[in-house]
Order: sequence, then C-alpha cells, then structure tokens
Amino acid sequence: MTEYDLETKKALRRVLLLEYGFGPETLRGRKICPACGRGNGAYRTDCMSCGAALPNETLYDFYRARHRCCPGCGVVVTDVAVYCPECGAHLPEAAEQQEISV
Amino acid sequence: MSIFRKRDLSPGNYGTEPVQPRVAVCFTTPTMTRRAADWLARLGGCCPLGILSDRSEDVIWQCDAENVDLLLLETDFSPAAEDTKDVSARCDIAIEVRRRLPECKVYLACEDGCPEKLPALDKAVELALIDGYCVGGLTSQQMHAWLIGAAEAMERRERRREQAYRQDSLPVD
Repeated sequence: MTEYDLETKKALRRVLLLEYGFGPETLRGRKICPACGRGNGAYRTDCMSCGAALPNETLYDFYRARHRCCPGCGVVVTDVAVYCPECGAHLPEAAEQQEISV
Repeated sequence: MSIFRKRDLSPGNYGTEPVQPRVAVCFTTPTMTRRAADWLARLGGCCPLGILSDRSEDVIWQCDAENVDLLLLETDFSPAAEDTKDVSARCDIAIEVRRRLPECKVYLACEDGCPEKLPALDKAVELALIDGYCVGGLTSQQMHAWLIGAAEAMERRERRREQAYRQDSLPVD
C-alpha cells in the first residue's frame, strides 16, 4: 500500500463518517433538545424548534459516556484496546474514562 | 495500422495560442451529461467531454484515456439512485482519477436541499479529496473560476515538463 493509498483511505473514511453521521465530528456538532428531541447545531443555546434551553453537552459527550473513546481522535475503541486503531495513540485504562450523567 | 491505436492527445497548436483545459462532465443521466457538455461548449474556454456512463470504472478510464484537466461530477442523494452517487462514492472516483492524473481538478455539482451533506462536502475539500463543489445550479462565473484554476495547474505542469526536458537535454562535458 502506497502513501497515497494510506492518506486517501483515511480521508475517505472521515468523509464517509461525516456523510452518514456516525463519526465523532458529526456528534460534536449536534445537540439534542431535551424537550422535543429535535437535533440542533452545537453552537445553539436554545432549541430552534421549541425554544427550550439546550444542554452544554453535545451528542459526542453523551456518546463518550457510553463508550470507550480515544482521547486523541475520538473514535470508539474496544474495552481491551491498548492503542487506538485509528490514530495510534496510547489509550488510558478503561476505568479512567469519565462518566457523564445523562 | 491498428484500430486500437491510441489517439494523439498532444496539443498541435502549442505555442501559437493557449491550450484550453480538457473538461470531462459526468452527470447522473446521459441526457444531463450531454446538456452539461453543450453548456460548457457555449461557455467557451475549455474542451468539453461528456462521459455518458457514470460507472466509476468508466469515468476513471475515460478521464485517464483523454488526459482531462478538470472533472465535474454530479451527485445524486436520492434513495432511489440505482448506484451510489453520494459524496463518498464520488470522492472514491476522484481518488482514482488523481492517482492517474495528479494535476486533475475534481469538482462536484450537488443538488440543493440536502444540508446534512454539507459537512461531508466541506471535509472532502479540506482533506483535498476534491477541489470544490457547488450546491444547486452551477453558474457561469463559478465555472470560469474553476477553469482558471485548471488552466493554472496546466501551466504549472507544462513548466515542470519543460524544465525536466531541459535538464535531460543538457550537454554533458
């Protein structure tokens, strides 16, 4: 596999994740209204649909609370992983992950 | 003479007038592709080429064979689309085209009304998988700007080629 293959494969994966909404970048950019359930941009403080106050946490914060994620790139990793398969960062122990109450 | 003889794509009028960029267009239907190629021909400043099959292998092969300078691909986000013509599938084509033609510019023409696709499009530009995109109608000003970019890339390539040729042909003492 050439350098070009490696670079483009990684880039394409990020585009694919953003396109279909499963990547950390998409989750970081969204907030869900606790009152009506509508998705809002992370920059908003009140819901564009019902006007209710939005939480500070984005969808990614809730996602992190339920999964073990790489602190470097944010992708979800298995409980036994020592290094991130995406960016290669050394992962902290599973117990060190902070829980966010939802 | 073989019927499979490769067409000579070297510009014959080199040095007399500026060479226009070869622009390949591939829309989701052959009719739209023909219409886009006709529009480009009327717009001027390029040699348009319609790629009537939008299967990725056909697009990649034809771009390579015709040595295109700019590729304009249309996306189709409707769930009824027969084949995948979304952002990532089009980026996949762009990657393969640029593997063969590193200087080729690739742009996407996207339909309006799909704001959820914009982050993916912006990321594709940021990561240099494509050079740009337009949403809704493609204006003549936008196309002119893209053509200027393609012409500049062509000039750079020609300059590099000339420089390499000069270095190769330096007399050895």
